[in-house]
Amino acid sequence: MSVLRPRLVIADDEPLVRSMLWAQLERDFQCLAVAVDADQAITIARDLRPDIVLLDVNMPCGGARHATRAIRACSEHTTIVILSGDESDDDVVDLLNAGATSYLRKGLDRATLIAKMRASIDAHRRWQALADSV
Amino acid sequence: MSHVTASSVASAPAAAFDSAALDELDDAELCEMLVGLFAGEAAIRIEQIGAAVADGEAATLAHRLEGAAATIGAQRVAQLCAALAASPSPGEVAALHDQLADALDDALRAMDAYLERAHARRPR
Repeated sequence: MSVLRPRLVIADDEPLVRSMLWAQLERDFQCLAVAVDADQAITIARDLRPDIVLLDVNMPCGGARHATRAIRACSEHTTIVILSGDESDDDVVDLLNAGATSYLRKGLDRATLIAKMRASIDAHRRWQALADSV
Repeated sequence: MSHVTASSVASAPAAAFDSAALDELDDAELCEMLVGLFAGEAAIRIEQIGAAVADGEAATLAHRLEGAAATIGAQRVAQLCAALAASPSPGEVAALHDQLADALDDALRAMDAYLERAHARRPR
């Protein structure tokens, strides 16, 4: 992994959200690609093995739940972060149990978003190291 | 967990537009492109929500618009979308849809004013 600029894939069906996230994050992350639905996110993650993916909770073709399970199965090292417009989403526990590392609401300021993404990568790496040691 | 309802939205309306996310980009042309994207997407979504009031799809459409609105700082639009997504009755959805159209107008006016100021600040 590039420690300074982790490799990122953004998956969201809303063009505005994809563009905004790319603009907010490109200085601190290597933005590799964008996906417009869950199936595309899975294909890109399998091919590019990014350090981190941002998944919109409600994107087409199965949403974040389908994408999380599939990406976790094909790329263990990838940190999965879910983005939702609604903090009170009922899917939070399911998504975390499926392999997502964190669940963030859309509209966070840039500094907070970057800090939470970096913390998620760190948490996922620690968890992986722990899992590998037992 | 707290759910936003039509009544709570009426009593505590959020700001039409918070420019913090665009401020951080520090790029007037990029901001103009993003505002244009939002204006187009939001107008289409609100029209779709109006057409879907009776069939239960309005909540799904509102959820999608909420994410875009929250991302760009259209806080009132995002707040109304959250309320709409949580509203069980068609009557409540219809009332919120009317408020949503007004909130989008307010947000776009505030964004236009923001872009004018951003362009005025640019070195010539």
